[in-house]
Amino acid sequence: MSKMASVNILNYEIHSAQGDLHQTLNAIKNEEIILSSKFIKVDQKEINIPFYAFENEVQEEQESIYGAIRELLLKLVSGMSEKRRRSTALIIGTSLVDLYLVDAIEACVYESERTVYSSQKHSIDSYAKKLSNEFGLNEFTMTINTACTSSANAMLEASNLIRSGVFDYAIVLGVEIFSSIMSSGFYTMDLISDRMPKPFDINRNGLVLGEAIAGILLGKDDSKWSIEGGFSNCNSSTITSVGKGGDECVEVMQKALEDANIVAEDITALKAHATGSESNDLAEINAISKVFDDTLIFTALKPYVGHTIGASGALEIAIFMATIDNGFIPKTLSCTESILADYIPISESKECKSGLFMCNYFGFGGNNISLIIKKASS
Amino acid sequence: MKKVAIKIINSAKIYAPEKIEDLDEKRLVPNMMMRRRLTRNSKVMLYLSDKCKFDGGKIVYGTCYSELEEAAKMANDVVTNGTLSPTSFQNSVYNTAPSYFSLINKDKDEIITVSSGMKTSLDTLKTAALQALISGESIFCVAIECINIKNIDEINRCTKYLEAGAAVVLEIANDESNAKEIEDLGVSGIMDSLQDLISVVNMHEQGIDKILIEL
Repeated sequence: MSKMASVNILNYEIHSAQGDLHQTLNAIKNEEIILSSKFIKVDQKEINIPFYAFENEVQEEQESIYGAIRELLLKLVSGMSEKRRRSTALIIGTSLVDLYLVDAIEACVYESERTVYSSQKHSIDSYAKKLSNEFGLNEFTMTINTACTSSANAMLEASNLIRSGVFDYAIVLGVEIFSSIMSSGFYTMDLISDRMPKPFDINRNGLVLGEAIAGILLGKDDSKWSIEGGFSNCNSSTITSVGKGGDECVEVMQKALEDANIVAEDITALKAHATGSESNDLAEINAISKVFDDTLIFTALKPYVGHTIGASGALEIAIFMATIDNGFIPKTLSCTESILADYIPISESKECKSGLFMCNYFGFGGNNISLIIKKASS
Repeated sequence: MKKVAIKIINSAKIYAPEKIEDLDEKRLVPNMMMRRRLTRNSKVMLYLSDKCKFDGGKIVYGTCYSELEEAAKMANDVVTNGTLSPTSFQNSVYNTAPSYFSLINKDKDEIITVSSGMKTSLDTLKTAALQALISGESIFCVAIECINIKNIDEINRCTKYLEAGAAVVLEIANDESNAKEIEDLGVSGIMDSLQDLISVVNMHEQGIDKILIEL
Protein backbone atom coordinates (compact mmCIF):
# COMPACT_ATOMS: atom_id res chain seq x y z
CA MET A 1 0.00 0.00 0.00
CA SER A 2 1.21 3.48 -0.81
CA LYS A 3 2.06 5.93 1.95
CA MET A 4 -1.15 7.11 3.48
CA ALA A 5 -2.12 10.77 3.36
CA SER A 6 -3.67 11.49 6.72
CA VAL A 7 -7.44 11.60 7.11
CA ASN A 8 -8.88 13.51 10.02
CA ILE A 9 -11.14 12.27 12.78
CA LEU A 10 -13.80 14.93 13.15
CA ASN A 11 -16.13 13.54 15.78
CA TYR A 12 -16.87 10.39 17.75
CA GLU A 13 -19.62 9.01 19.98
CA ILE A 14 -20.02 5.76 21.85
CA HIS A 15 -22.51 3.72 23.78
CA SER A 16 -20.81 1.09 25.94
CA ALA A 17 -21.73 -0.99 28.97
CA GLN A 18 -20.59 1.96 31.07
CA GLY A 19 -22.97 4.38 29.29
CA ASP A 20 -22.37 7.18 26.79
CA LEU A 21 -18.97 8.73 26.11
CA HIS A 22 -19.08 10.99 29.16
CA GLN A 23 -20.27 8.21 31.48
CA THR A 24 -17.69 5.76 30.12
CA LEU A 25 -14.93 8.28 30.65
CA ASN A 26 -16.03 8.87 34.22
CA ALA A 27 -16.21 5.13 34.88
CA ILE A 28 -12.64 4.76 33.61
CA LYS A 29 -11.36 7.74 35.60
CA ASN A 30 -13.00 6.57 38.79
CA GLU A 31 -12.43 2.86 38.15
CA GLU A 32 -16.11 2.26 38.80
CA ILE A 33 -16.67 -0.45 36.23
CA ILE A 34 -20.00 -2.18 35.88
CA LEU A 35 -19.63 -5.82 34.86
CA SER A 36 -22.93 -7.67 34.68
CA SER A 37 -23.84 -11.11 33.38
CA LYS A 38 -25.97 -12.99 30.88
CA PHE A 39 -27.52 -16.43 30.81
CA ILE A 40 -26.59 -18.68 27.92
CA LYS A 41 -27.69 -22.22 27.17
CA VAL A 42 -25.02 -24.87 26.88
CA ASP A 43 -25.70 -28.64 26.93
CA GLN A 44 -29.35 -28.01 27.86
CA LYS A 45 -28.22 -26.10 30.95
CA GLU A 46 -28.46 -22.41 31.63
CA ILE A 47 -25.09 -20.95 32.51
CA ASN A 48 -24.43 -17.48 33.84
CA ILE A 49 -21.43 -15.80 32.26
CA PRO A 50 -19.94 -12.37 32.97
CA PHE A 51 -20.86 -9.87 30.27
CA TYR A 52 -20.43 -6.13 29.76
CA ALA A 53 -24.07 -5.32 29.03
CA PHE A 54 -25.90 -2.09 28.25
CA GLU A 55 -27.80 -0.65 31.19
CA ASN A 56 -31.00 -0.73 29.16
CA GLU A 57 -31.26 -4.03 27.37
CA VAL A 58 -31.27 -4.03 23.57
CA GLN A 59 -33.30 -7.02 22.44
CA GLU A 60 -31.76 -9.52 20.06
CA GLU A 61 -34.12 -8.53 17.28
CA GLN A 62 -33.89 -6.21 14.28
CA GLU A 63 -36.06 -3.28 15.36
CA SER A 64 -34.48 -3.01 18.77
CA ILE A 65 -30.96 -3.12 17.32
CA TYR A 66 -31.87 -0.60 14.64
CA GLY A 67 -33.24 1.77 17.30
CA ALA A 68 -30.02 1.59 19.31
CA ILE A 69 -27.80 2.23 16.28
CA ARG A 70 -30.09 5.04 15.13
CA GLU A 71 -29.85 6.79 18.51
CA LEU A 72 -26.06 6.91 18.32
CA LEU A 73 -25.92 7.94 14.66
CA LEU A 74 -28.32 10.77 15.40
CA LYS A 75 -25.75 12.29 17.77
CA LEU A 76 -23.07 12.17 15.06
CA VAL A 77 -25.11 13.66 12.22
CA SER A 78 -27.22 16.16 14.12
CA GLY A 79 -24.82 19.05 13.40
CA MET A 80 -24.25 18.15 9.78
CA SER A 81 -25.88 20.10 6.96
CA GLU A 82 -28.00 18.34 4.38
CA LYS A 83 -25.31 18.87 1.75
CA ARG A 84 -22.59 17.44 3.96
CA ARG A 85 -24.71 14.43 4.79
CA ARG A 86 -25.19 13.69 1.10
CA SER A 87 -21.45 13.43 0.63
CA THR A 88 -21.03 11.10 3.60
CA ALA A 89 -20.60 7.35 3.13
CA LEU A 90 -21.65 4.95 5.86
CA ILE A 91 -19.63 1.85 6.68
CA ILE A 92 -20.66 -0.53 9.43
CA GLY A 93 -18.20 -2.94 10.98
CA THR A 94 -19.86 -5.73 12.88
CA SER A 95 -19.84 -9.43 13.50
CA LEU A 96 -23.51 -9.26 14.40
CA VAL A 97 -25.48 -12.35 13.58
CA ASP A 98 -27.72 -11.63 10.60
CA LEU A 99 -31.08 -11.92 12.30
CA TYR A 100 -32.92 -11.93 8.98
CA LEU A 101 -30.90 -14.99 8.10
CA VAL A 102 -31.60 -16.56 11.49
CA ASP A 103 -35.32 -16.19 10.81
CA ALA A 104 -34.85 -17.95 7.50
CA ILE A 105 -32.80 -20.76 9.00
CA GLU A 106 -35.20 -21.27 11.86
CA ALA A 107 -37.99 -21.54 9.36
CA CYS A 108 -36.38 -24.42 7.54
CA VAL A 109 -33.75 -26.42 9.37
CA TYR A 110 -35.62 -27.73 12.34
CA GLU A 111 -37.07 -31.19 12.16
CA SER A 112 -40.49 -30.06 13.32
CA GLU A 113 -42.73 -27.02 13.39
CA ARG A 114 -41.67 -25.71 10.03
CA THR A 115 -43.21 -22.45 9.03
CA VAL A 116 -43.42 -20.72 5.71
CA TYR A 117 -40.71 -18.11 5.41
CA SER A 118 -41.21 -15.07 3.27
CA SER A 119 -37.93 -13.50 2.18
CA GLN A 120 -37.81 -9.72 2.03
CA LYS A 121 -34.27 -9.81 0.67
CA HIS A 122 -32.88 -8.31 3.82
CA SER A 123 -29.29 -8.81 4.82
CA ILE A 124 -26.84 -7.74 7.48
CA ASP A 125 -26.32 -4.56 5.41
CA SER A 126 -29.99 -3.65 5.80
CA TYR A 127 -29.21 -1.55 8.87
CA ALA A 128 -26.76 0.63 6.92
CA LYS A 129 -29.11 1.04 3.96
CA LYS A 130 -32.02 2.04 6.19
CA LEU A 131 -29.92 4.46 8.25
CA SER A 132 -28.46 6.07 5.16
CA ASN A 133 -31.96 6.58 3.82
CA GLU A 134 -33.38 7.93 7.04
CA PHE A 135 -30.57 10.43 7.69
CA GLY A 136 -30.07 11.56 4.08
CA LEU A 137 -26.53 10.19 3.83
CA ASN A 138 -24.97 9.15 0.53
CA GLU A 139 -26.43 5.93 -0.82
CA PHE A 140 -23.00 4.28 -0.64
CA THR A 141 -23.10 1.91 2.31
CA MET A 142 -21.03 -1.08 3.15
CA THR A 143 -21.00 -3.64 5.93
CA ILE A 144 -17.68 -5.25 6.73
CA ASN A 145 -17.59 -8.44 8.73
CA THR A 146 -14.09 -9.57 9.55
CA ALA A 147 -14.89 -10.61 13.13
CA CYS A 148 -12.91 -8.71 15.80
CA THR A 149 -11.31 -6.42 13.21
CA SER A 150 -14.56 -5.42 11.47
CA SER A 151 -14.85 -1.77 12.47
CA ALA A 152 -11.07 -1.24 12.46
CA ASN A 153 -11.07 -2.45 8.86
CA ALA A 154 -14.07 -0.21 8.24
CA MET A 155 -11.96 2.76 9.41
CA LEU A 156 -9.20 1.85 6.99
CA GLU A 157 -11.70 1.51 4.13
CA ALA A 158 -13.34 4.82 5.06
CA SER A 159 -9.91 6.46 5.01
CA ASN A 160 -9.29 4.97 1.56
CA LEU A 161 -12.58 6.38 0.29
CA ILE A 162 -11.73 9.86 1.54
CA ARG A 163 -8.11 10.06 0.49
CA SER A 164 -8.91 8.75 -3.00
CA GLY A 165 -11.40 11.60 -3.33
CA VAL A 166 -14.50 9.43 -3.68
CA PHE A 167 -16.15 10.97 -0.62
CA ASP A 168 -15.59 14.04 1.51
CA TYR A 169 -16.78 12.34 4.67
CA ALA A 170 -17.41 8.83 5.96
CA ILE A 171 -19.04 7.58 9.12
CA VAL A 172 -17.82 4.31 10.59
CA LEU A 173 -20.14 2.52 12.95
CA GLY A 174 -18.95 -0.39 15.08
CA VAL A 175 -21.89 -2.45 16.27
CA GLU A 176 -22.10 -5.44 18.57
CA ILE A 177 -25.17 -6.48 20.54
CA PHE A 178 -25.42 -9.50 22.86
CA SER A 179 -25.88 -12.66 20.85
CA SER A 180 -26.65 -15.87 22.69
CA ILE A 181 -25.21 -17.95 19.84
CA MET A 182 -21.98 -16.00 19.75
CA SER A 183 -21.56 -16.15 23.52
CA SER A 184 -22.26 -19.89 23.49
CA GLY A 185 -19.74 -20.32 20.69
CA PHE A 186 -16.99 -18.58 22.64
CA TYR A 187 -17.98 -20.57 25.75
CA THR A 188 -17.73 -23.92 23.95
CA MET A 189 -14.28 -22.90 22.74
CA ASP A 190 -13.34 -22.45 26.38
CA LEU A 191 -12.49 -18.80 25.85
CA ILE A 192 -14.79 -17.10 28.37
CA SER A 193 -13.37 -15.98 31.72
CA ASP A 194 -15.40 -16.25 34.91
CA ARG A 195 -14.32 -12.79 36.07
CA MET A 196 -13.06 -9.44 34.82
CA PRO A 197 -10.49 -10.15 32.09
CA LYS A 198 -6.82 -9.85 33.02
CA PRO A 199 -5.06 -8.88 29.80
CA PHE A 200 -1.37 -9.76 29.65
CA ASP A 201 -1.48 -11.21 33.18
CA ILE A 202 0.18 -14.57 33.78
CA ASN A 203 -3.07 -15.69 35.43
CA ARG A 204 -5.39 -14.56 32.63
CA ASN A 205 -8.06 -17.12 31.91
CA GLY A 206 -10.09 -15.78 29.03
CA LEU A 207 -12.09 -12.93 27.67
CA VAL A 208 -15.37 -11.33 28.65
CA LEU A 209 -17.65 -10.27 25.83
CA GLY A 210 -19.46 -6.97 25.75
CA GLU A 211 -21.88 -4.96 23.67
CA ALA A 212 -21.28 -1.52 22.22
CA ILE A 213 -22.12 0.88 19.44
CA ALA A 214 -19.50 3.39 18.43
CA GLY A 215 -19.45 5.95 15.65
CA ILE A 216 -16.55 7.89 14.14
CA LEU A 217 -16.84 10.68 11.58
CA LEU A 218 -13.88 10.99 9.21
CA GLY A 219 -13.11 13.72 6.72
CA LYS A 220 -10.56 16.24 5.53
CA ASP A 221 -11.73 19.20 7.63
CA ASP A 222 -9.30 20.49 10.22
CA SER A 223 -9.11 18.44 13.38
CA LYS A 224 -6.59 17.73 16.10
CA TRP A 225 -7.01 13.98 15.54
CA SER A 226 -5.98 12.13 12.39
CA ILE A 227 -5.44 8.64 11.06
CA GLU A 228 -1.83 8.63 9.93
CA GLY A 229 -1.63 5.13 8.56
CA GLY A 230 -2.58 1.54 8.95
CA PHE A 231 -2.12 -1.95 7.68
CA SER A 232 -4.47 -4.88 7.52
CA ASN A 233 -3.74 -8.41 6.49
CA CYS A 234 -4.98 -11.94 6.82
CA ASN A 235 -2.34 -14.23 8.16
CA SER A 236 -3.24 -16.89 10.64
CA SER A 237 -1.56 -19.96 11.98
CA THR A 238 -4.98 -21.55 12.59
CA ILE A 239 -8.51 -20.48 11.64
CA THR A 240 -9.00 -18.81 15.02
CA SER A 241 -5.66 -17.41 16.08
CA VAL A 242 -2.17 -16.25 15.30
CA GLY A 243 0.99 -18.13 16.29
CA LYS A 244 2.25 -17.74 19.85
CA GLY A 245 5.47 -16.11 18.68
CA GLY A 246 3.36 -13.26 17.31
CA ASP A 247 5.17 -13.01 13.95
CA GLU A 248 1.88 -12.33 12.15
CA CYS A 249 1.24 -9.38 14.48
CA VAL A 250 4.82 -8.12 14.06
CA GLU A 251 4.30 -7.87 10.32
CA VAL A 252 1.09 -5.86 10.70
CA MET A 253 2.58 -3.44 13.25
CA GLN A 254 5.73 -2.85 11.20
CA LYS A 255 3.83 -2.25 7.99
CA ALA A 256 1.46 0.15 9.75
CA LEU A 257 4.51 2.13 10.93
CA GLU A 258 5.88 2.13 7.38
CA ASP A 259 2.54 3.27 6.02
CA ALA A 260 2.54 6.21 8.42
CA ASN A 261 6.17 6.90 7.53
CA ILE A 262 7.35 6.64 11.13
CA VAL A 263 9.46 4.27 13.22
CA ALA A 264 8.67 2.42 16.43
CA GLU A 265 10.46 5.03 18.55
CA ASP A 266 7.99 7.68 17.33
CA ILE A 267 5.06 5.93 19.02
CA THR A 268 3.93 7.68 22.20
CA ALA A 269 1.76 4.80 23.42
CA LEU A 270 0.05 1.65 22.18
CA LYS A 271 -3.49 0.43 22.70
CA ALA A 272 -3.28 -3.33 22.61
CA HIS A 273 -5.95 -5.73 21.37
CA ALA A 274 -5.40 -7.73 24.58
CA THR A 275 -8.47 -9.89 24.96
CA GLY A 276 -7.28 -11.72 28.06
CA SER A 277 -7.18 -15.04 26.23
CA GLU A 278 -4.25 -17.38 26.75
CA SER A 279 -2.87 -17.56 23.22
CA ASN A 280 -3.72 -14.17 21.72
CA ASP A 281 -2.25 -12.17 24.60
CA LEU A 282 0.92 -14.24 24.44
CA ALA A 283 1.20 -13.67 20.68
CA GLU A 284 0.57 -9.94 21.01
CA ILE A 285 3.03 -9.28 23.82
CA ASN A 286 5.70 -11.32 22.04
CA ALA A 287 5.05 -9.25 18.94
CA ILE A 288 5.23 -6.00 20.92
CA SER A 289 8.60 -7.08 22.33
CA LYS A 290 9.90 -7.68 18.79
CA VAL A 291 8.83 -4.27 17.47
CA PHE A 292 9.32 -1.95 20.48
CA ASP A 293 11.84 -1.59 23.25
CA ASP A 294 10.75 -2.11 26.85
CA THR A 295 10.12 1.58 27.52
CA LEU A 296 6.93 1.42 25.46
CA ILE A 297 3.80 2.67 27.20
CA PHE A 298 0.97 0.28 26.41
CA THR A 299 -2.44 -0.44 27.81
CA ALA A 300 -5.57 -2.53 27.31
CA LEU A 301 -9.15 -1.25 27.39
CA LYS A 302 -11.16 -4.47 27.47
CA PRO A 303 -11.37 -4.67 31.29
CA TYR A 304 -13.40 -1.42 31.08
CA VAL A 305 -15.84 -2.35 28.32
CA GLY A 306 -15.32 -6.00 27.43
CA HIS A 307 -14.42 -7.55 24.11
CA THR A 308 -16.96 -5.99 21.82
CA ILE A 309 -15.81 -8.01 18.77
CA GLY A 310 -16.92 -6.17 15.62
CA ALA A 311 -17.43 -2.90 17.50
CA SER A 312 -14.06 -2.98 19.25
CA GLY A 313 -12.24 -1.15 16.43
CA ALA A 314 -14.33 2.00 16.58
CA LEU A 315 -15.16 1.75 20.29
CA GLU A 316 -11.64 1.41 21.62
CA ILE A 317 -10.20 4.10 19.35
CA ALA A 318 -12.97 6.46 20.49
CA ILE A 319 -12.35 5.70 24.17
CA PHE A 320 -8.59 6.02 23.70
CA MET A 321 -9.04 9.43 22.04
CA ALA A 322 -11.45 10.56 24.75
CA THR A 323 -9.02 9.70 27.54
CA ILE A 324 -6.17 11.54 25.80
CA ASP A 325 -8.48 14.49 25.19
CA ASN A 326 -8.84 14.43 28.96
CA GLY A 327 -5.09 14.31 29.45
CA PHE A 328 -4.37 10.69 30.32
CA ILE A 329 -3.84 7.14 29.10
CA PRO A 330 -5.82 4.74 31.28
CA LYS A 331 -4.06 2.03 33.19
CA THR A 332 -4.59 -1.65 32.43
CA LEU A 333 -7.01 -2.79 35.07
CA SER A 334 -6.45 -6.15 36.72
CA CYS A 335 -3.03 -6.99 35.33
CA THR A 336 -0.84 -7.70 38.35
CA GLU A 337 2.00 -9.74 36.86
CA SER A 338 2.81 -9.43 33.19
CA ILE A 339 3.52 -12.39 30.91
CA LEU A 340 6.85 -10.79 29.99
CA ALA A 341 8.74 -9.27 32.91
CA ASP A 342 10.23 -6.49 30.77
CA TYR A 343 7.01 -5.57 29.02
CA ILE A 344 4.44 -4.45 31.55
CA PRO A 345 1.20 -2.72 30.61
CA ILE A 346 0.85 0.51 32.59
CA SER A 347 -0.41 -0.07 36.12
CA GLU A 348 -1.13 3.62 36.74
CA SER A 349 -2.71 6.12 34.41
CA LYS A 350 -0.15 8.21 32.51
CA GLU A 351 -0.47 11.87 31.70
CA CYS A 352 -0.68 12.33 27.96
CA LYS A 353 -2.18 15.08 25.84
CA SER A 354 -0.85 14.45 22.35
CA GLY A 355 1.34 12.17 20.26
CA LEU A 356 1.36 9.26 17.86
CA PHE A 357 -0.47 6.13 18.91
CA MET A 358 -0.73 2.59 17.63
CA CYS A 359 -4.04 0.71 17.99
CA ASN A 360 -3.99 -3.06 17.49
CA TYR A 361 -6.75 -5.48 16.56
CA PHE A 362 -6.05 -9.18 16.02
CA GLY A 363 -9.03 -11.33 15.18
CA PHE A 364 -10.60 -14.63 14.18
CA GLY A 365 -9.46 -16.05 10.87
CA GLY A 366 -6.12 -14.27 11.13
CA ASN A 367 -7.56 -10.89 10.26
CA ASN A 368 -5.10 -8.47 11.81
CA ILE A 369 -4.90 -4.70 11.67
CA SER A 370 -2.86 -1.91 13.23
CA LEU A 371 -3.89 1.72 12.92
CA ILE A 372 -1.70 4.74 13.64
CA ILE A 373 -3.52 7.79 14.95
CA LYS A 374 -2.17 11.18 15.93
CA LYS A 375 -3.23 14.03 18.14
CA ALA A 376 -1.54 17.30 17.31
CA SER A 377 0.01 19.07 20.28
CA SER A 378 -1.77 22.36 19.86
CA MET B 1 -19.50 9.91 -8.09
CA LYS B 2 -16.03 8.96 -9.30
CA LYS B 3 -15.68 6.37 -12.04
CA VAL B 4 -12.60 4.24 -12.46
CA ALA B 5 -11.69 1.96 -15.33
CA ILE B 6 -10.56 -1.48 -14.29
CA LYS B 7 -8.82 -4.06 -16.41
CA ILE B 8 -9.95 -7.65 -16.01
CA ILE B 9 -6.97 -9.98 -16.13
CA ASN B 10 -8.68 -13.31 -15.43
CA SER B 11 -12.20 -14.40 -14.63
CA ALA B 12 -14.16 -17.48 -13.64
CA LYS B 13 -17.65 -18.50 -12.61
CA ILE B 14 -19.34 -21.67 -11.47
CA TYR B 15 -22.85 -22.60 -10.41
CA ALA B 16 -25.05 -25.62 -9.92
CA PRO B 17 -28.73 -26.23 -9.12
CA GLU B 18 -27.80 -28.06 -5.91
CA LYS B 19 -24.21 -29.00 -5.12
CA ILE B 20 -21.25 -28.16 -7.35
CA GLU B 21 -19.82 -31.62 -7.88
CA ASP B 22 -16.24 -31.18 -9.05
CA LEU B 23 -14.31 -28.50 -7.23
CA ASP B 24 -11.00 -30.27 -7.76
CA GLU B 25 -10.47 -30.33 -4.01
CA LYS B 26 -7.93 -33.16 -3.86
CA ARG B 27 -5.52 -31.41 -6.17
CA LEU B 28 -6.07 -27.98 -4.67
CA VAL B 29 -5.84 -29.11 -1.05
CA PRO B 30 -3.73 -32.28 -0.84
CA ASN B 31 -3.77 -32.26 2.97
CA MET B 32 -6.77 -34.42 3.85
CA MET B 33 -7.22 -33.02 7.36
CA MET B 34 -7.35 -29.49 6.06
CA ARG B 35 -9.62 -30.51 3.19
CA ARG B 36 -12.14 -32.01 5.57
CA ARG B 37 -12.37 -28.79 7.54
CA LEU B 38 -13.21 -26.61 4.57
CA THR B 39 -16.63 -25.03 4.30
CA ARG B 40 -18.56 -24.99 1.01
CA ASN B 41 -17.76 -21.32 0.40
CA SER B 42 -14.06 -22.05 1.03
CA LYS B 43 -14.03 -24.87 -1.52
CA VAL B 44 -15.74 -22.74 -4.15
CA MET B 45 -13.31 -19.88 -3.45
CA LEU B 46 -10.29 -22.16 -3.84
CA TYR B 47 -11.70 -23.45 -7.13
CA LEU B 48 -12.34 -19.96 -8.50
CA SER B 49 -8.93 -18.67 -7.41
CA ASP B 50 -7.28 -21.57 -9.21
CA LYS B 51 -9.27 -20.87 -12.37
CA CYS B 52 -8.21 -17.21 -12.12
CA LYS B 53 -4.57 -18.27 -11.57
CA PHE B 54 -4.53 -16.32 -8.32
CA ASP B 55 -2.48 -17.73 -5.45
CA GLY B 56 -1.74 -14.69 -3.33
CA GLY B 57 -2.26 -10.97 -2.91
CA LYS B 58 -5.07 -8.68 -1.87
CA ILE B 59 -8.57 -10.15 -1.75
CA VAL B 60 -12.00 -8.58 -1.60
CA TYR B 61 -14.59 -11.22 -0.79
CA GLY B 62 -18.35 -10.74 -0.84
CA THR B 63 -21.16 -12.89 0.44
CA CYS B 64 -24.70 -12.04 1.36
CA TYR B 65 -25.55 -15.27 3.17
CA SER B 66 -22.10 -16.25 4.45
CA GLU B 67 -21.55 -19.83 5.62
CA LEU B 68 -25.19 -20.85 5.67
CA GLU B 69 -24.51 -24.56 6.11
CA GLU B 70 -22.42 -23.92 9.23
CA ALA B 71 -25.01 -21.48 10.58
CA ALA B 72 -27.75 -24.05 9.98
CA LYS B 73 -25.72 -26.75 11.75
CA MET B 74 -25.34 -24.44 14.74
CA ALA B 75 -29.03 -23.63 14.84
CA ASN B 76 -29.95 -27.29 14.58
CA ASP B 77 -27.44 -28.30 17.26
CA VAL B 78 -28.81 -25.72 19.66
CA VAL B 79 -32.40 -26.85 19.14
CA THR B 80 -31.83 -30.62 19.11
CA ASN B 81 -29.26 -31.12 21.87
CA GLY B 82 -28.50 -27.68 23.23
CA THR B 83 -24.83 -28.00 22.34
CA LEU B 84 -22.99 -25.72 20.02
CA SER B 85 -20.23 -27.26 17.93
CA PRO B 86 -17.03 -25.19 18.29
CA THR B 87 -16.08 -26.18 14.75
CA SER B 88 -19.34 -24.90 13.29
CA PHE B 89 -18.97 -21.74 15.35
CA GLN B 90 -15.43 -21.13 14.11
CA ASN B 91 -16.52 -21.78 10.55
CA SER B 92 -19.63 -19.62 10.65
CA VAL B 93 -18.00 -16.19 10.49
CA TYR B 94 -18.34 -14.22 7.26
CA ASN B 95 -14.64 -14.21 6.46
CA THR B 96 -14.15 -17.97 6.83
CA ALA B 97 -13.56 -18.64 3.12
CA PRO B 98 -10.78 -16.09 2.58
CA SER B 99 -9.25 -17.10 5.90
CA TYR B 100 -8.95 -20.72 4.74
CA PHE B 101 -7.56 -19.44 1.45
CA SER B 102 -4.97 -17.49 3.45
CA LEU B 103 -4.03 -20.57 5.47
CA ILE B 104 -3.74 -22.88 2.47
CA ASN B 105 -1.94 -20.51 0.13
CA LYS B 106 0.09 -18.83 2.88
CA ASP B 107 -1.31 -15.56 1.58
CA LYS B 108 -0.52 -12.85 4.13
CA ASP B 109 -2.03 -9.92 2.29
CA GLU B 110 -5.06 -7.79 3.06
CA ILE B 111 -8.53 -9.31 2.95
CA ILE B 112 -11.81 -7.44 3.17
CA THR B 113 -15.16 -9.20 3.54
CA VAL B 114 -18.20 -7.30 2.35
CA SER B 115 -21.87 -8.15 2.79
CA SER B 116 -24.41 -5.86 1.16
CA GLY B 117 -27.55 -7.83 0.54
CA MET B 118 -28.52 -8.11 -3.10
CA LYS B 119 -25.84 -5.53 -4.00
CA THR B 120 -23.08 -7.64 -2.49
CA SER B 121 -21.14 -8.39 -5.67
CA LEU B 122 -21.46 -4.79 -6.91
CA ASP B 123 -20.08 -3.47 -3.62
CA THR B 124 -17.38 -6.14 -3.75
CA LEU B 125 -16.37 -4.86 -7.19
CA LYS B 126 -16.40 -1.26 -5.94
CA THR B 127 -14.27 -2.13 -2.93
CA ALA B 128 -11.85 -4.10 -5.11
CA ALA B 129 -11.57 -1.18 -7.55
CA LEU B 130 -10.90 1.14 -4.62
CA GLN B 131 -8.24 -1.21 -3.25
CA ALA B 132 -6.62 -1.40 -6.69
CA LEU B 133 -6.67 2.39 -6.94
CA ILE B 134 -5.09 2.86 -3.54
CA SER B 135 -2.52 0.08 -3.71
CA GLY B 136 -1.65 0.01 -7.41
CA GLU B 137 -1.76 -3.77 -7.14
CA SER B 138 -3.97 -6.40 -8.77
CA ILE B 139 -6.89 -7.57 -6.63
CA PHE B 140 -8.74 -10.86 -6.46
CA CYS B 141 -12.44 -9.98 -6.31
CA VAL B 142 -14.73 -12.89 -5.51
CA ALA B 143 -18.35 -13.37 -4.45
CA ILE B 144 -19.91 -16.65 -3.40
CA GLU B 145 -23.25 -17.96 -2.12
CA CYS B 146 -23.76 -21.58 -1.01
CA ILE B 147 -27.22 -22.12 0.42
CA ASN B 148 -27.71 -25.83 -0.26
CA ILE B 149 -28.81 -26.63 3.28
CA LYS B 150 -31.28 -29.19 4.53
CA ASN B 151 -34.88 -28.27 3.75
CA ILE B 152 -33.85 -25.21 1.78
CA ASP B 153 -36.79 -25.85 -0.53
CA GLU B 154 -39.03 -24.77 2.34
CA ILE B 155 -37.84 -21.18 2.02
CA ASN B 156 -36.12 -20.81 -1.31
CA ARG B 157 -38.22 -18.55 -3.52
CA CYS B 158 -35.46 -16.68 -5.30
CA THR B 159 -32.87 -18.90 -6.89
CA LYS B 160 -32.53 -21.86 -9.20
CA TYR B 161 -28.87 -22.33 -8.29
CA LEU B 162 -28.12 -23.14 -4.66
CA GLU B 163 -24.37 -22.89 -5.09
CA ALA B 164 -22.72 -20.22 -7.19
CA GLY B 165 -19.65 -18.04 -7.31
CA ALA B 166 -17.86 -15.62 -9.57
CA ALA B 167 -14.41 -14.07 -9.49
CA VAL B 168 -12.12 -11.74 -11.37
CA VAL B 169 -8.55 -10.62 -10.98
CA LEU B 170 -8.54 -6.90 -11.71
CA GLU B 171 -6.23 -3.93 -11.77
CA ILE B 172 -6.62 -0.25 -12.59
CA ALA B 173 -6.57 0.32 -16.37
CA ASN B 174 -4.04 2.73 -17.82
CA ASP B 175 -6.79 4.74 -19.49
CA GLU B 176 -10.56 4.76 -19.90
CA SER B 177 -10.64 4.36 -23.69
CA ASN B 178 -13.06 1.61 -24.77
CA ALA B 179 -14.03 0.92 -21.17
CA LYS B 180 -17.62 -0.33 -20.90
CA GLU B 181 -20.23 0.16 -18.20
CA ILE B 182 -21.37 -3.07 -16.54
CA GLU B 183 -23.93 -4.61 -18.88
CA ASP B 184 -26.84 -6.70 -17.72
CA LEU B 185 -25.39 -10.06 -18.68
CA GLY B 186 -26.34 -11.96 -15.57
CA VAL B 187 -27.43 -15.57 -15.52
CA SER B 188 -31.11 -16.01 -14.86
CA GLY B 189 -31.74 -17.99 -11.70
CA ILE B 190 -28.53 -17.05 -9.90
CA MET B 191 -29.00 -15.01 -6.75
CA ASP B 192 -29.14 -11.25 -7.24
CA SER B 193 -26.31 -10.83 -4.76
CA LEU B 194 -23.94 -12.29 -7.39
CA GLN B 195 -25.38 -10.94 -10.64
CA ASP B 196 -23.16 -7.88 -11.07
CA LEU B 197 -19.98 -9.91 -10.81
CA ILE B 198 -21.44 -12.66 -13.01
CA SER B 199 -22.16 -9.94 -15.61
CA VAL B 200 -18.55 -8.74 -15.46
CA VAL B 201 -17.28 -12.32 -15.87
CA ASN B 202 -19.58 -12.80 -18.87
CA MET B 203 -18.38 -9.52 -20.40
CA HIS B 204 -14.80 -10.71 -19.99
CA GLU B 205 -15.67 -14.03 -21.63
CA GLN B 206 -17.00 -12.00 -24.58
CA GLY B 207 -13.66 -10.25 -24.94
CA ILE B 208 -14.39 -7.06 -23.00
CA ASP B 209 -11.57 -6.55 -20.55
CA LYS B 210 -11.99 -2.91 -19.56
CA ILE B 211 -14.92 -2.03 -17.31
CA LEU B 212 -16.05 1.23 -15.71
CA ILE B 213 -16.88 1.03 -12.03
CA GLU B 214 -18.70 3.86 -10.30
CA LEU B 215 -17.32 4.18 -6.81
